[in-house]
Amino acid sequence: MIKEKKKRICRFCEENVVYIDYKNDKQLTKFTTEQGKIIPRRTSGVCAKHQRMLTNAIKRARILALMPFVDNTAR
Amino acid sequence: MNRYETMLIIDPTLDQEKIDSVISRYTEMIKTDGEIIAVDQWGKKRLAYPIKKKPTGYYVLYKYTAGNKVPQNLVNDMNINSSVLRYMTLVVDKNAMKQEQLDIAGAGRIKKEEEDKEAAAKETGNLS
Repeated sequence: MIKEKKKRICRFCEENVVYIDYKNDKQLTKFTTEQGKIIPRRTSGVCAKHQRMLTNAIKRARILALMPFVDNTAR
Repeated sequence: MNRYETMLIIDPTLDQEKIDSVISRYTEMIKTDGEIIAVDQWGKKRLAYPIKKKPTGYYVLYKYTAGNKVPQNLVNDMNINSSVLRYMTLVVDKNAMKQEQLDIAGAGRIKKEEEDKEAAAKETGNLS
């Protein structure tokens, strides 16, 4: 028996998102690890187009100190 | 004329009067060749990492349309101004504007659904 692979759909594509805002840091933190690293799309399932938007948004948020560059728990 | 968005972090240790004067200074600079759509003051917020050894910052967001020399003037001034901790100016592109409208429309839709639900609940209440 060969199991059919489930096709994962990018969650941004589902909602027809055309632009990811850097100001929405709560949404962006879902796509970073506890250390503040960007989660690769092979684990998050985001499509290439939206991953590009995400990285841009996260990097902008980092410049404005809305998100950390590195988050060390022992601060 | 382009649409821009400038976010600004002001030193929160200043008096409220000084903060207001910094904000109005830049609104006037924008108004020399442009129109302001909105000035959002987020207020004091905790920074994700300290800037100039300050753990908090006063966030201000300008949304405006202006000629192409205005952002450069703003940057030149902010570089000198020591009460500005950090700034960023972006051109609001087509997709960003589209998403803005979609969000407004989406929010409207959600509200409508809620209203419908309320209306439905009222009806059932009346029936029972």
